[in-house]
Amino acid sequence: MRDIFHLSVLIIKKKLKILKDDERHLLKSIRAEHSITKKTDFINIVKKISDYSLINKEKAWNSILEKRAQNIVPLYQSKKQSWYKYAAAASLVLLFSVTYFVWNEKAFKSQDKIVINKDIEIGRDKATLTLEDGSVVGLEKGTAYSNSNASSNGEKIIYKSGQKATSQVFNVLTIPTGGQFNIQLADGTKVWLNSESQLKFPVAFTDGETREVQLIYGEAYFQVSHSTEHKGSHFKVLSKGQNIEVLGTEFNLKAYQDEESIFTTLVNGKVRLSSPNAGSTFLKPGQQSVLDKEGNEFIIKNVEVFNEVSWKEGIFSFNAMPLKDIMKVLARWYDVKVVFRDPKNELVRINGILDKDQKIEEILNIISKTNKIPYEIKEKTIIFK
Amino acid sequence: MNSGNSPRIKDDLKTVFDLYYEALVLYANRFVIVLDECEDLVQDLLIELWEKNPYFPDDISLKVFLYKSTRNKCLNVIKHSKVKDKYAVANSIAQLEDDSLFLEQILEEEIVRQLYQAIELLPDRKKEIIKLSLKGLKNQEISEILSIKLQTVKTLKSQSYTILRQQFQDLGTLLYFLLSEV
Repeated sequence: MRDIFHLSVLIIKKKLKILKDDERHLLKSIRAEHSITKKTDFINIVKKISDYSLINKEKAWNSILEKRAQNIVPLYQSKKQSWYKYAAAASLVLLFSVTYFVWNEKAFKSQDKIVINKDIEIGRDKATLTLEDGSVVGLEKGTAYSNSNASSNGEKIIYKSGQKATSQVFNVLTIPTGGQFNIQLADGTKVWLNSESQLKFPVAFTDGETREVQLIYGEAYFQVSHSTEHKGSHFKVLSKGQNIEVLGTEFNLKAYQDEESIFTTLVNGKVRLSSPNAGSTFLKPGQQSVLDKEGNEFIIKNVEVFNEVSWKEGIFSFNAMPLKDIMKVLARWYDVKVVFRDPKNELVRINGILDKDQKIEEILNIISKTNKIPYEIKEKTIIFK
Repeated sequence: MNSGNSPRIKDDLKTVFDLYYEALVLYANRFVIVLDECEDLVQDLLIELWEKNPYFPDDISLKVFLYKSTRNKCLNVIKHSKVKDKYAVANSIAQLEDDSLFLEQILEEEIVRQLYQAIELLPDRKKEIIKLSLKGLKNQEISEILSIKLQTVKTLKSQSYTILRQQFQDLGTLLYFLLSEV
């Protein structure tokens, strides 16, 4: 019977067209073993999905709590303990359910009031470009821009390849809170920049010499064009506290000023990290290095890469992440401040994959509903009660 | 969206409730016609679970337990029901006792349950589009039904599938190793 539950996942994967060959084989053999010949009827499946809305879950959970409070007494009696113990236990549970009710009602009411807060906008493509002479250009979806080195359609900026680097000329791309942007450097390297980030880079590179850029702060995903295309020149990313040196690879670097550590996650290839105090280390794909603020030590761990890089695909992916850290990410994208009235809630761990083009209320409602943490929005501040 | 490893019901009744409540109720609803009765029966089941606080080595043992217990509860309800239609009662009992039918039915409930949880994360518009697409409707048809532009359907649909795929991508590979070792 157990493999029926695996079969359900395999059938969904097949429907989503992500079934691997060995899984296809497995699917067939489980079906055969249980002589399940009926094709999955997705019209019916979708109908049943809609049926879920017939069930009032909030009411159901409350009634479970009520029944549970009533049930506890007979259960203790059977163990022949003195009466006041059951009474105490019962009242505790009752207290819990009463608090729950009050709390819940509060959550419900506060959600009711929230229409859509006009002050809070969903993040979008925007950045400012600072040229070598110090002049500043605003880049934003819908406005095109070009100069002798680069051109932008407002969603990304592309630097021309093959330009001769006479002397080192640097530009700086700054992504504000609530922004994100894409850049293709003159060597073909692509960089995705997250909200509140700043990248300094030369407008041209010289083949054979180390290519060097600097993530002054923030988060960036690098898809580095391979050194073999540039007469072997390595690519180097400097950030506060550490340097990364690569040949050709994909990795994510998170070095926010308000974070405790610098996180480097390798997706493909190989990178070498170095820091004055922590020495140097190599990363393998799927590994993440964490360098503490003092820069004393690289700690290497294996991570779910998707969770680290999903931001560049327009998705937030949180895996058992404390609410406090999730809110840091959301604060950067929606340009909001966050307050926790009850510090306990900061540490509540949450799983979830969320869409970056959702209104923040939609995300907060999911978090608030599933974890029973009421919230309210005042102007641009989110308050968890 | 998994409930994590080895759930102890006592600590995690809410998680079990969140993940399985609707699926169990709708499974029961195949045999017990009144939805309220189904809800009652599943609620009782969850409370009993909480009281006994059994240990489950993994999520699947928990699932097996939940569906089997719901099935037993349904049998009980039907056997003691005051419905006079003996034929209908006999028919329901026969269906409930049919093991291969049971497997087919929980297979369906599990597909619904997991897809529901994945789709629930999408914003409303994408939810609608993905449901129509899962039903097998073409982009053109979806765009007509929802009266939105074809291009918008395409964009939203592909974004939604990316999210859905990501959620199921890494699931279910472990079993393969277990099986291939035997």
